[in-house]
Amino acid sequence: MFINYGLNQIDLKIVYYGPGFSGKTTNLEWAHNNIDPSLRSDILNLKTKEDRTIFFDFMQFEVGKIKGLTPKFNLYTVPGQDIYTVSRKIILNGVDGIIYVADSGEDRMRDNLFTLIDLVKNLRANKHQVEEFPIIFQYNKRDLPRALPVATLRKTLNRFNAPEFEACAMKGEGVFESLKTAIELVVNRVTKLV
Amino acid sequence: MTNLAADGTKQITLSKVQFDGISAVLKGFYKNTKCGVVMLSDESGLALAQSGRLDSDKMSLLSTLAAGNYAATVQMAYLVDEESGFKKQFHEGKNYSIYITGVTESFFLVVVFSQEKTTFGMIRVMCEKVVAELQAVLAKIPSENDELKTIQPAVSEQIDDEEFREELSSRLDSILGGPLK
Repeated sequence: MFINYGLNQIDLKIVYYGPGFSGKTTNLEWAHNNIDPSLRSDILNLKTKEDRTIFFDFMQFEVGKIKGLTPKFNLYTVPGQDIYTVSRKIILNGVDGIIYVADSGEDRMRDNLFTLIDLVKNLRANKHQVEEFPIIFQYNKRDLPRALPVATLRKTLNRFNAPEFEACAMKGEGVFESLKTAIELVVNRVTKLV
Repeated sequence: MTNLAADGTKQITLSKVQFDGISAVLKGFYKNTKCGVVMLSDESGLALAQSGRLDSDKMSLLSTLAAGNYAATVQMAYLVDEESGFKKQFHEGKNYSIYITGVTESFFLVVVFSQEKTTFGMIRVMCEKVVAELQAVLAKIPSENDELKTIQPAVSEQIDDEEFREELSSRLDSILGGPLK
C-alpha cells in the first residue's frame, strides 16, 4: 500500500496466486481485454517460449478520482510452477490482497493444496495474519467435464471462510466478480490499517 | 515513511512535503544530466516519483520491471555470497541505456538516458549526489506542520466514508461489467 499525500493517491497491490495452469494469467488477460483502455496500463507478460509465466504478469488500472482521492490497483500474477518459489516470495512483497485461483480438475487437488500451503507459508513469513488477510478463492475451470464439486474444493482449500467464486476464466465468467470483491476487501482493510 | 502494520501489511506513506522534496530533487537531476527519465521506485514495484518524458502508464511498467530486476539481483548476490548485494546495475543499449542504483534498503533510482545527450560517467557521478539528497529527504520525519499541508482529511477517513464506497462500487460495476448477480 502506497499513500501519496502529494498527489492524494493510494496504490494497492492484488496478487493472483495458484498452481501452474490454474488460469491466473487468463484472469488478468480477460480483465485487460475488457477494461476501457483509457483506465488501464498495457499488460506486462514475462513468459517462457512455452508461454508459461516465468516471473510475473502485471497490469495497473484505476477508477478515476473519488471525492478527491485517486485509488490505483496494481494486479500481479505469480508463476505457478514449483521451481519459482523465490519469484513468488518477491512478488508478495507489499501485497494487500490475494485472489487464489484454484483448478477445479479432480487431478489438480494436490497442486491446489500444495500451492495454498506455499502461500500461507510466504504470508506468515511476512508476518501477515493469514486468517484476517484479504483473500478470495476462485474455483476456476468449472466447465471441465471432471470438475470437482465446489463443496469438495471449499472443504479442502477455503479454511478461512473467505469469499469464493466459481469461474471459467477463458469465457470471462467469474473474473470480474472475483476482482471486484478482492478490491472491496482490500479497500475496507485500509481503514483498519492506516 | 515505510511501516509494517500489525498484520504485516507494508505501508509506504509520503507526506506532501516529502513528495514535493523528492520531485524537486528528481527534476533537478533530469535538467542537469539531460537524461530521458529518472524515477524513484520501491522494491515492490511502485513508482514513488519521477521526472522525464514517459507517460505515467509506461512509468508504472518500467518501475515494475526494474523492481523485478532489482529483486532478482539481490537473490543472485545472495547465491554468490555477496553480502552487500549489487547496489548498482547498468544495462547498455545502442540508443538508450538504463542505470539503477540503490537509495535505501527499500528504494532505488532508475535512470534512462541516451548516449547522444549525456554520458554514463555524468549519470553515475550525478547519481551519487542525488542519492544522498534523496536519503536526506526520506529520512525527514514529517512534522505536524507538514501533515497540515497535506490534502485533508486523511486517506483512512476518506475511504471510511459511505459515499466513497458506494461511488467506488458503482464505478467498479461500470468498469468491470455491471453489478454482481
